[in-house]
Amino acid sequence: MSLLEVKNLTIQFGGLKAISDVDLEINPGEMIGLIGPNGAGKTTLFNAITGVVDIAQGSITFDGKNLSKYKPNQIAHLGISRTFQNIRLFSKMTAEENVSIGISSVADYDIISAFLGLPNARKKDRETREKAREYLAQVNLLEYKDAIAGSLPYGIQRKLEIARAIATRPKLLLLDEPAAGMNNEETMELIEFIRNIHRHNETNMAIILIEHHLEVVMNLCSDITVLNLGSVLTRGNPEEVQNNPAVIKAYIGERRSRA
Amino acid sequence: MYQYLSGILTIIAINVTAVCGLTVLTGFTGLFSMGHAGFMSLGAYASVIAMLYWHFPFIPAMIFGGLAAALVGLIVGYPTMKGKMRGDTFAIAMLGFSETVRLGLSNIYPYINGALGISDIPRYSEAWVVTLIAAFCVYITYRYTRSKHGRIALSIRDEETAAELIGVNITWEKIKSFMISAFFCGMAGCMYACYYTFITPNTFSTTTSNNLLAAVVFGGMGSVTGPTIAAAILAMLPEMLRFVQKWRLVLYGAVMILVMLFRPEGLMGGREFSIKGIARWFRKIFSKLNRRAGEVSK
Ligand SMILES: Nc1ncnc2c1ncn2[C@@H]1O[C@H](COP(=O)(O)OP(=O)(O)OP(=O)(O)O)[C@@H](O)[C@H]1O
Ligand SMILES: [Mg+2]
Repeated sequence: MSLLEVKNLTIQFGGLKAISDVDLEINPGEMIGLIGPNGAGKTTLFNAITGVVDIAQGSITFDGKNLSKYKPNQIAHLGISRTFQNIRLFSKMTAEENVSIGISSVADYDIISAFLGLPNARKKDRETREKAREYLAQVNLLEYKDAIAGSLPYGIQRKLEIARAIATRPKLLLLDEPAAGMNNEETMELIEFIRNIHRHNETNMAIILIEHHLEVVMNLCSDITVLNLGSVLTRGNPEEVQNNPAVIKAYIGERRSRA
Repeated sequence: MYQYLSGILTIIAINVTAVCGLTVLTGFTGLFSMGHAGFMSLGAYASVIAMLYWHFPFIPAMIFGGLAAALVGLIVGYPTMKGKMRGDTFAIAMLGFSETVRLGLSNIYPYINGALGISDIPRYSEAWVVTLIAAFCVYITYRYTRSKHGRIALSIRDEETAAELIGVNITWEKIKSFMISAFFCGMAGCMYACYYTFITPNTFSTTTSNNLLAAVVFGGMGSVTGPTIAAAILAMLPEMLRFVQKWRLVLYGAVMILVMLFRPEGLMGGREFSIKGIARWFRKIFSKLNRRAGEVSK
């Protein structure tokens, strides 16, 4: 059974159909790429899966559950986690605290224990802190644990956001342009980073990767879906996609219209 | 003289207790309220009724006042947070709330005498008692903000969408902060009533609300000790400026503007006041001086 099944999905903003009649499927442990020119509806698709925009038509099923019945925070607890195109870290909090919100987004002790700093609360806090450090160590960010997230270098912030997302132990991870704004060297490093977290995780995590840099997707994903103007243009392996005239046209058309 | 000083101490303690609550809501959850005087009023009235009619002792009455305010906080908080109110909308809605409380109380005559208010309230608010209570409140607020609950509130202030998509139930967490802020303000209202021995619906005004908010912003968003110090200073300031008499309020305003001009992030920024912090601060200054001395000797 597939982990996520998007069926005939349509998303509308007023008169604009940002997504129209899109189908998408991903199995546990898979990593698929999602590409397409600006405004193709990639981020909107992520927003629909995470429950922040309303579905006009169609359905999204995750792990056998119809997601339209769940609120965004409940969807997170079902096992979907994401990063954002524009980094959205808790910028005034430390790296460690960012990850620890991912580990338990619901306080695991009561308010009175919190006010009085009772031993059970302190013990739980200590456990969370230790776990957060484990995650940071796993992604080689331990040295930044006490740094304020907003003051970290851009590339590190991107990684920290991914670390925070996987700290929720998701079954499905959505990465929205993780390489945006990175130079070549940083991008190559990020590719290895993503490959690593995909291989070494406890939940057989599936990943959907949005990326403008084709070399990133081509490098990581054997199955790529191309969106254009809200619809699926084509899907296939990297060569098929790269040599598809329609894809080339969509990208070139974009470049022309921008010029 | 003793009376004078203990009076100031009492006012500081009351202000600090209320500001503790607002710190959780504004400094840590990021919701600005211009109407928390409403909760002080409700807490004051509830506790006074408990004392006069049901013969509650001081501390239980104070806690009862806090709980009554928190309950109203739940009733008001649920629709506002569910409707995702925030920013200026929320601040103004709270202004409306405190006006509603004021006018509501002015028109209830049984038990509370409408606009005339209640007098002959027992004078329980001894300076040392309320100071101890305030100190305790500062301590538990500090503990709370360092706890998981406080960190989750902070995540909402920093980046609400990300918090929600990582699993934080932002509606409930905001209601929680709101109720906590109402609780502390309610207790402060009781302390106030038991100091001045009479209250009317106009005792807690928009000015009260604004002073609470000013203390949080002055002290620093995301700090507990900062607003505590600011609350104490703001409570003392009118007294300290008494020598300039009618220019007092003008100066008060000018001080506010100056602070915001030169320290927009507030007294403490997001940090906490600590001995270690002061030591660090001195070390920094000394090393700077040393360096400068070194340059000169070269
Ligand atoms: N909340 C919204 N309200 C109105 N229109 C929106 C909203 N979100 C997205 N859109 C519109 O939907 C279309 C698809 O946007 P989307 O952000 O999904 O594109 P994208 O494929 O992620 O593009 P990019 O590569 O630039 O990130 C765009 O035309 C955009 O303006
Ligand atoms: Mg996008």
